[in-house]
Amino acid sequence: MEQFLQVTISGLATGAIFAISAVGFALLWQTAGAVNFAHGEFIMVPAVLILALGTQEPTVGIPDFIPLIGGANIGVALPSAGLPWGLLIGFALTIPIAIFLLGYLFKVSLVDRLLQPGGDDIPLVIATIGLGLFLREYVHEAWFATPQPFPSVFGNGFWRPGGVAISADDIGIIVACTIVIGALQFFIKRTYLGRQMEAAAQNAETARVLGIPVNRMVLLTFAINAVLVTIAGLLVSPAINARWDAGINLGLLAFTAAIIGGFNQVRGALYGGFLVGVIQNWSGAYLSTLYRDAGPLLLLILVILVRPQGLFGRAEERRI
Amino acid sequence: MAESVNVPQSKAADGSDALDQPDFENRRDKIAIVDRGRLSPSLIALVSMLGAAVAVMPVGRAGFDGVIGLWFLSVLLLVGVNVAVPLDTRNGQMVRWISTATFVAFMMLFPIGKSGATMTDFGLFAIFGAVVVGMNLTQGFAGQVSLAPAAFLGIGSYTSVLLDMGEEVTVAGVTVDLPDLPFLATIPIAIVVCMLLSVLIGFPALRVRGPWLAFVTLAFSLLVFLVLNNEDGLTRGSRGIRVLRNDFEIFGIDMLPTHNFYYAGLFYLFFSLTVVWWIVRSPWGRALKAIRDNSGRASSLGVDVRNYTLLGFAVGSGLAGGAGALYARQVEYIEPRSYFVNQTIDFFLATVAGGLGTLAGPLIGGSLITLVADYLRFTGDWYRVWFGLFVMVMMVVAPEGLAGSFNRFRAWVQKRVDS
Amino acid sequence: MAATETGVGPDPASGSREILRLDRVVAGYGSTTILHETTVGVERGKLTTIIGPNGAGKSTALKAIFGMVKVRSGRILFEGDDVLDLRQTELLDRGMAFVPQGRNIFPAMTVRNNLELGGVSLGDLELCRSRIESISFSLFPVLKEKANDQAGTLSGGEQKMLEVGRAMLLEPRLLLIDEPSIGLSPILVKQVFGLLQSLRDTGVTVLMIEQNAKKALEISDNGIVMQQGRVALAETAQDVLDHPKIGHLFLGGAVDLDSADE
Ligand SMILES: Nc1ncnc2c1ncn2[C@@H]1O[C@H](COP(=O)(O)OP(=O)(O)OP(=O)(O)O)[C@@H](O)[C@H]1O
Ligand SMILES: [Mg+2]
Repeated sequence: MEQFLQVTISGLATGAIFAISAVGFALLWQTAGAVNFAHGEFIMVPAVLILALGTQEPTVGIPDFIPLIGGANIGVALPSAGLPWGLLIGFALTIPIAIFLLGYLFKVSLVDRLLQPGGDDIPLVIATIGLGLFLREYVHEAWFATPQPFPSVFGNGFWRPGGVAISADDIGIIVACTIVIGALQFFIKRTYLGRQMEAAAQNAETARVLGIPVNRMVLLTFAINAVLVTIAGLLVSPAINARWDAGINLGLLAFTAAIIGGFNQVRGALYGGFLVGVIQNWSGAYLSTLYRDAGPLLLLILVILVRPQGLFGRAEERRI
Repeated sequence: MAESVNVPQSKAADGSDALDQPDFENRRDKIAIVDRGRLSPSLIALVSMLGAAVAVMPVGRAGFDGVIGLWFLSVLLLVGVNVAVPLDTRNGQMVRWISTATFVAFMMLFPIGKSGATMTDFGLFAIFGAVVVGMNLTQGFAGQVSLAPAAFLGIGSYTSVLLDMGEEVTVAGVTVDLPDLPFLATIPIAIVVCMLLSVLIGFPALRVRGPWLAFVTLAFSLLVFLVLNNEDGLTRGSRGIRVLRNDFEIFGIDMLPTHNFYYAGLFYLFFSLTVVWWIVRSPWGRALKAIRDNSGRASSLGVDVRNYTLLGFAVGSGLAGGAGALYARQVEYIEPRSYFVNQTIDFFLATVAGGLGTLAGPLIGGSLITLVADYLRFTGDWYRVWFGLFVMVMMVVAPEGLAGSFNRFRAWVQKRVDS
Repeated sequence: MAATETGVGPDPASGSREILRLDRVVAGYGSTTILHETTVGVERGKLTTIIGPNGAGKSTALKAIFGMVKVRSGRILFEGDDVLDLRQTELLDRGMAFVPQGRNIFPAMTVRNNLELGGVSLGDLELCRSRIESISFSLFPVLKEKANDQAGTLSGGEQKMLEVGRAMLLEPRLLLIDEPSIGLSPILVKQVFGLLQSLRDTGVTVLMIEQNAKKALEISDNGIVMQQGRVALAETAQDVLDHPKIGHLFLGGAVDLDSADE
């Protein structure tokens, strides 16, 4: 029983991260029709940036980072009294960079050029696979090939109420993700701007007729996605380290969560994320640690077979 | 200007069938060859000499020493003739046939006097070329992205090797005695196993429009890797299996030497090209093209989109499986890591860069990830960064790939020549 | 008899009486051309109905006017200004509103939220809310009753009312409306037509497309017949109704009028 609780809680924590990633992925798919096969790399790159910009360790600092900056170490070294300041500053610096690179630049240089309304989505799929390769190999070649330890914002504490070992990191992740998704949900459902964004996602044609600036709403979605992947990178990396090849698994599990949950923007991806996290941890604990990822992947194939609109989606909500 | 009621036009205006049908027929016409003009003996003689030069020059020279400049010049001239002579004339057809024969002759004669290392590279080119030919069928002709060719390559490798060892294996506690089949017999088995599996996973994925096949095949790739890596009793896990080329003879020729084995790979490459060439020219191939160009319209024509696409995917995966059987003997050692997603990404790069929906594209692409990549080793893995960038730029500026760009270039040149 | 000149509006001489003019508009989707130099004018303050067989390009014409389809050549004049390259917000600001064919609501949102989205270009949510009270709800009291229901639960007629009520939020001078009666019961069709007439009476120019040609023309001031991307006839509604060859249209056939040149 203790083990079950423990496994489920850490499953929920992993799942919370998948949920944020999946929400971003689903937002892009729904609002812009953009299927992003580099989504996993979109989580990996901010993690590496956070480390590079905020680390007190010169080993992964700017010098080997972008040769353009000219070898100056602008990594921020602050006394880490209580809070992991370096990490938080790295995070704060990464957000605008991510919004520009993974949001704006991605949209105007690839998505806008390759996605004609009513056209084929395969060219963008191909290009984003190329983008994923580019980002992976770039990090591998220009930054580091070996996994780098990544500190947790929530520290390494443990509680043991009644024999169940609960890590501060897991609880912190669950709380942080709940807040992030709650805020996003509030924005989309309760604010005028959010509803305009949702309107553009649900029916771009009607939104245009009403004078909703659809293109700006799509750009907003890309920016939100960039913020979400940065948060996901910050939260997921302590468990898996910052590594150049993390994106393959992260991306696949995010797609899996989004597809399993269904394309109801936030809700489906949210449930899908938690489900994938919990199933992954259950299969790791009760089947075999070697087959941790097999459970979610089998479920993905099963869902596409029997319920392509997703477990929580309604058929008419899937646009593609 | 009679005020007459015009009945036939109204049919065209509200029913779209009447409008769509001729367009579909047009595609068929484009494939049909128009015989035009007369054969020019001097042109044919010139091209034949160029071809002979290209095929014969490397013979017996380990590193092309001394002739490399001349050889490249001959290749360029041959390409130039191909660009200049319109394809829809007798001369154009002849030039194309001579060029194809040149390619075949070059590949056949090339091993003479080459080192074992060179031939290993060329053997890999032939085998990976066949995988890319199959992938090109799925992606270029059927218009679906498969992210599992490396997984099918792996399934083919392991199927063939395990059936060729005569050892017992244990899966999930069950122990089975595997037969020791001759290598050649395992190739069709590998192909069939991969085709069946691809139907199994492609069936659900192709039920709905969209890039579902890409997701499912990616998930499948990871599952296959997990199984290969973790089922120690079956695959010996990450330790891998050493493969021997001992029992391998074709028509009395011992395939053990690298030079001889190269011909097995080359034969398989030609086999794959022939299969795809045949499919593309069959009614099925034309239906695939129609599907790729406009899925909605093809289905309104009564083409069973799903079955055709599924077949395209299955044949592509089967070709990868057969290539896996050969690949295992080429590298003489198999391990799960060789079949991970990065290998798929390589095949994918080759398919896209070479040119989707052409026959020459996979050859160009295949050489890109084997021969060219080998020359680029000195960059570390930086060349992979540029490959990634290259795919993105290509999708934006020339989505038809290198072979497609060549065709466009030829069309452009010929328009100039005509006017 | 038939129109004397291709696509000339009821009174070509007086430009000021025209609120909208299409001048040799060529438009289509992808490589197919649907509108072939369509030319027509729409009279200010009148209720004008476009009829024509399926696929004639009626919807495409309205979409072209509202910038939803790329126009390849020609001009579209609204109040004398070329509005071809304007975005939808700018068209709305200038006093045009569009209710497209089919279902144009956000079914998962409440009726009130749907209405609010119609006022985005006002740039002021409070103003928008007060206009919802004073315009949408007074036009259609039923919307007020169901303001907090999900829009998807409304009946077909109520959904159309929602769309029209939303379009009227910006107090447009020209309302473009595509097949408002589709899927409505005869009583509701009458209601919708009555509503459009009363809008016309308050000074709004209405340009609508209708399959229900006979009924629509009977309540209209002017009629336009479109066929294969061209304006075959533009007359007063009564003249269109009386035209000897138009009968076929009501039966769904096509007509070859002498004015439909190549
Ligand atoms: N989004 C689109 N993409 C491609 N073709 C389109 C599109 N919309 C319409 N068409 C084509 O344009 C032609 C004219 O369509 P349009 O909708 O303008 O006709 P319509 O006169 O409104 O017909 P209906 O009475 O059926 O509404 C049709 O042949 C249709 O197939
Ligand atoms: Mg219409």
